[in-house]
Order: sequence, then C-alpha cells, then structure tokens
Amino acid sequence: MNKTSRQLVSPSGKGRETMYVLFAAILVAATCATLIFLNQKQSAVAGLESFQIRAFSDLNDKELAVFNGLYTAAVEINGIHDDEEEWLTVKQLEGELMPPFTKDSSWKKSGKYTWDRVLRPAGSMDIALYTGHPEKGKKMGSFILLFLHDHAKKQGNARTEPTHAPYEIWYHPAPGKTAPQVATDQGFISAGWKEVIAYSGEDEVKRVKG
Amino acid sequence: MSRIKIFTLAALLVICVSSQALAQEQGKKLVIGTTLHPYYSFVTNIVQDRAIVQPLIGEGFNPHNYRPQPEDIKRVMNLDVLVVNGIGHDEFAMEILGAAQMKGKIPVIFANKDVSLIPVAGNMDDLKIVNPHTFISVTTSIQQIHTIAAALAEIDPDNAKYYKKNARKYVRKLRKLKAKYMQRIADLPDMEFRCATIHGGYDYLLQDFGLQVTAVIEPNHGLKPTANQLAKTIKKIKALDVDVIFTEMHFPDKYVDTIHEETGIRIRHLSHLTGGSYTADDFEKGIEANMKALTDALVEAHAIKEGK
Repeated sequence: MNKTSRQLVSPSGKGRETMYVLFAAILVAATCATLIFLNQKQSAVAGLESFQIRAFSDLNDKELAVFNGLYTAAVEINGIHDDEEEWLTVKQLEGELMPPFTKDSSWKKSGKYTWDRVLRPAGSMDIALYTGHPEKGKKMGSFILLFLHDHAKKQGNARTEPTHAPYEIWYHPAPGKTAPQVATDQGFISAGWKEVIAYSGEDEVKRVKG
Repeated sequence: MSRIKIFTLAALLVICVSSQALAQEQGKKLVIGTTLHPYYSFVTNIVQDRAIVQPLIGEGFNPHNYRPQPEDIKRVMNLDVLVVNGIGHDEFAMEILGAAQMKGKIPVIFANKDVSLIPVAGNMDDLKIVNPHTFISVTTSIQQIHTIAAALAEIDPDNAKYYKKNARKYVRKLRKLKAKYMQRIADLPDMEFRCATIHGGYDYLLQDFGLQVTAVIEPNHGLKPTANQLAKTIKKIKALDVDVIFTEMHFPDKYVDTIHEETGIRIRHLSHLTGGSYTADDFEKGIEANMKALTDALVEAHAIKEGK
C-alpha cells in the first residue's frame, strides 16, 4: 500500500504578487488623481467685489426682470448717445416701448417703477443717471442706470481708451433711495448701493469651456 | 461686318462685363453662417442684401440631439463668419468647425455674449440652472441683435452704419409687435397667473410679460419623464394649482394627455422657434404665435376666475 505523501509548496514570489498588485493599484490611482487635477477646468468667471452683487442669484424674479430690461435698454440709449449726442428722456424711452420704462402690463407686474433722468456733466465726463423707484409697498429695491462717457479723446486728449465702462447698473434694497450726490464708484458704495453684475452668456461659456 | 453683327457683339460684351462685375460684387459679400432659426432671422434683418446668410444645417432638425452631417462640413468651409447661440442648442456648430478644421480660422459671434441670463424657474429639483433659451423672447433677442450688429460692424466696417441702422429699425419693429400683445392684456385686473411648461424654455418669454413659470414638467433639458417622474409631476401640478400647461410641438401627446386627464388643466402650445423653414420673418411669426398663445391663456384664465 502506497503512502500518500504531502508536500507544502510555497509561492515562488513569497507574497510579492500581492505587493505588485497593490503597487499597480496605487500607481493607477495616483495617475488618475494627477490627470484629474491637471485637467480640471478652472472657473474663468470673474469673482465679485464686495460692492457688487450678481443679478442671476441676488435679485428676486421681479427685480431681475427690471434689471434685464434696463440692461438691454442701456445698449440702445448708449448707441443713440454715441450717434446723436443726446440722452433719451424718460418720455422718449416710454415712446420707444422700451422696458422697464414703458408702462405696459409687464411694468405693472414688475413693481410699477417710476423713472427719472438726471444729467450731471463734469468736465470731459458726460454723466447721465436714470433712477427708478418701485410703487410704494412693493418689496423691491431702487435701481440706477448710470452712464459715464469720457469725451476727453474728442477734445484732443491723447488718451484713447475709456477709463470706465460706458454704463453700470446700481441697486439699493431701499425702495425710495435717492441717487448719491457724487456719481463715482466710491459715492455709490458709501451710500450703500451695490453694482449689479449680469451673469452673461460670456460668463456661461467661460464656465462651461474653462 | 454688318451693323447688326457689331451691335450684337457689343451687347454681348456689355452683358459679359456686367455679369463679371455682379459676380465680383457678390464675391465681396460676407457669407454669414447661422445655427438656429431665430439667428437666421436676426442676421438677415441686420444685413439685408449686403451679405449672404447661410444656415449651417438643413431645415427640420431638432437642436437638442443634432449630430453633424458630412454636408455640414462642406457648408462651413464657405463661411466668412459664424453666428451662434453659444450657451446651448448649437454645440454641433463647434463640432462642425472642428471637423472642417476651421476652428480659429473664421470669427464666431456669440450672440449671447452680453445677455443677462436667468435661471430655469419651476425646476422640479429647485436648482438654479441657467436657461439657454434667450432666443424665445423679445427683450433678450433685442440684446442679441445689438451684439450681432456690433460684431458684424467690426468685421465689415464698410457696412457698419447700415447694419446698426437696420438693427435699430428691426428691434423697434419687434418692440411694437410685443406692445400689440401687451395691449391685449392691459386692462386685465392684476391676478396671479400660474402656469406649467413641458419644456423649461419659456422663462425669458414670460419675463417679457412680467410673469414666471410655476413648474417645468420634463426632468431635464430634452429628456422625457419616466413613469415615476410623471406621477410625481402630476401630484405636484395638482398641488400647485396651475391655470394652464404649455406644451410644444415635439413633445409626445401621450404625456400631455395623461397630465390633462389626471389634472383637468387646460393645455396650450408654445413654439421652441427652431423648426420650419429659414426666413427673414420666421422669428417674428414664431414669437408672435407664442405671445398670442400666452395672452390667450391669460385672458382665458382671467375669465374663468371671474366666473364668465
């Protein structure tokens, strides 16, 4: 009768395979983490200053409607001033059926804002303010569409680039807030106004594409 | 040579020279590509006969799921400039440019560059998602028309004044069109108007009228709801007490019918403005139909609330 013999065979690698697999897993994880880090799209959307708010997220839906109307009207008011050197009056804007000035059904639903135009020329600066206040009792803030046109170039000054955006929109949560005496950033900021920044298509493209 | 022969030769010479001059004149014209239908209308109204407007892709496509075709690549190679929405619906344009190796070779005008975007209202998940349907509105279309006109004026300075003048005339026309529908509802007493839309594409249109969408039915852009989501939606619509549901042409009737049967709420149609033929007045016709549907719904909702 043959006796069964037993022999214990130990793995040739003596546990090295486990180490290899573990090492490979760590290598894959590290490579993935590095690639993900390198390929991350940095948000190219500009951050806001402390005196700025974002229309998209910081205004209520009715205020956002007023802002969007104002933001679109600004392009045309600005263009007409460039061509004809006049600031359209509130009556003219109503006549042009431009929101948020024209008194239509949307105007009624969006706070019935009363608008006022004030011109404040200062040296080479041509300044116009369109200030809007909602009807009493509405939980909406005040808006100012501010135009700052620097005509220094036209007067022979060597400077060719404008030092300021042609227009800005400012917001104050108080419905009856009047415009500050000094139409500078500091004047607005110290009076508690916030500059409203649109979340634009350009911002969205930068966010998506990096 | 007889006089008749001389006259005939002279006439032929004049025709040849004129044709050549015309061809050269046409050769100078910018060829401007557009993606979605409204952009064809915007650009055509801005440039009139001083440029050639060329739709990038054929009629009758669904922008939500369009895949570039070989003929699109041929078309893009003839363009001098391309106008896109750029924030949704026409990503295919970039794919076509890439496939034709035209990226960076022609200027691309992002019509939404300066548009102030708003979130999709009534989103079932209460998330603040950017709404890319800026072309279904008069106000945000006007902003885009100004952006396109300004960009074209830089590219084609000889016609800059002409483009800007046409843009101003066109936006006035659009504002008048909107005013006509504003007038329809001018005397309605202030009331709460609650509406649901199948597709989350009408926030800008409703914003034009000082309104807001209460709920959006489709779970995500271009996606159809599952049975579970539909049941959840029906429950939510019942709770929200909406006056009307706006559906659209391409949405399957079975969903709308189910919602109508379960809730009893009236259904009206809005257009996404991205179908049909490419014409200069396509946008005006489409947006007018939408404004009519919206104001009809408002008048009807008011009559029901007044018990008429």
